[in-house]
Amino acid sequence: MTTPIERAQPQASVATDGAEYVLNLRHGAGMREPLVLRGSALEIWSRIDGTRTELQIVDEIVETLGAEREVVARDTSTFLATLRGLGLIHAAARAGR
Amino acid sequence: MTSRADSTDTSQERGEQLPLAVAVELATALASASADKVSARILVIKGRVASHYELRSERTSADTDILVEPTRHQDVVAALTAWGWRERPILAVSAQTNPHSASLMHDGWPCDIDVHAYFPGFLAPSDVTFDALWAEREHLEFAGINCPTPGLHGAVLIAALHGIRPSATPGRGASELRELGEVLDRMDQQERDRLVELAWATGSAGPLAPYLAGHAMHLDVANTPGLRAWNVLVAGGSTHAGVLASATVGKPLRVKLHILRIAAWPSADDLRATYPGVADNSVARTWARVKRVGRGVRQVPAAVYALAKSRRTTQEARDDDAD
Repeated sequence: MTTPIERAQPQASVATDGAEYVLNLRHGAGMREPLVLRGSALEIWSRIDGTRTELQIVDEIVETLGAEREVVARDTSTFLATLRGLGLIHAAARAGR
Repeated sequence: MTSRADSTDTSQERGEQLPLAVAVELATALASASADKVSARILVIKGRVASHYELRSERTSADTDILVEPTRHQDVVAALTAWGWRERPILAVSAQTNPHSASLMHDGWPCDIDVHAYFPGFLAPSDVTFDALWAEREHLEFAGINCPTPGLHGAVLIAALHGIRPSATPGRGASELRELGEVLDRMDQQERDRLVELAWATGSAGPLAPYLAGHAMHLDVANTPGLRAWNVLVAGGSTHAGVLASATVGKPLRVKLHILRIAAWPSADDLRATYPGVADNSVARTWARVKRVGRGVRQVPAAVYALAKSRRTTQEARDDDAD
């Protein structure tokens, strides 16, 4: 929660109007088709830049969307767990090891 | 907030088609990364590479094309197979007439990845051609991944060969060549010299000589067996018989007969792939084969014309040499 999150590499992504298509290019990652991110998923994804923590992302989403903090925190946590499972993100500290 | 399912499903799980333009970008990045994984050299060709060099106007490609160093072709195909891509079924005769290309398809993707070990019209040995194109490579980003591409001159040669190919859609090939011609006409002498040098190195000087002559680059080419086969292919147009005629040029009689046999009387698997509507019984298959032979016979004049035209060109070249 207090460690910045960053996108794992290599990954390919294409942004279109209102959506981003992301593909983990790490061999054996289990992603055979791109993930489609829209709406709040895209809001979260766009904030994963290696500097923001999960809490900071939640704060920004609450402020941007005006949604209830508890709901945002729960959904963000679930979404980030999915991204971790797909090998698309990790804690930024790992990059420095 | 949207639910997890709304946020993170793949396009296929959501039942929506991946947009073609997006798919081509991602598939190109995937092909490049897969080749990297097995340490194989590839060049992304055609499509957005041609647009990048302003050799053709921007348009969405239907597939992504990569040229692989020839000895690693199967390794790259295997690397992509690990991602769930599989080779599009081809006829046994197509494997004989075009053995250096695999079209890979995937149920979740709307585009193919065409993996070439050879590009038609480059008549030098395919490894020599690849090395010559690789030596002047550039990089272009696809879906955020830096992918190797031919340099300007290699891209021009590929675009020109693509434009004069016999299977070009009527009008489209000519239109592509017109656009490309404008680029050639703007080239300074140094660029033209480099283009011609690369054309010689890759064996595309012969096939492209007539086109380049129209843009003030005159190449004195010899009529080699490879060029003769190319001329047969071009003169035969996109007819199956024309392709077969080209494929048999310079081949031993045994190979010629084998190609003609599998073309005239394809296996049951080949028939199913070509004519999925044919019932799976011996009577229907035999009737389909007979009809196929009939169509082939109707194309024979075009093939004979192609061979004759090629022989005439060869004879003229010999006469010129004798003079």
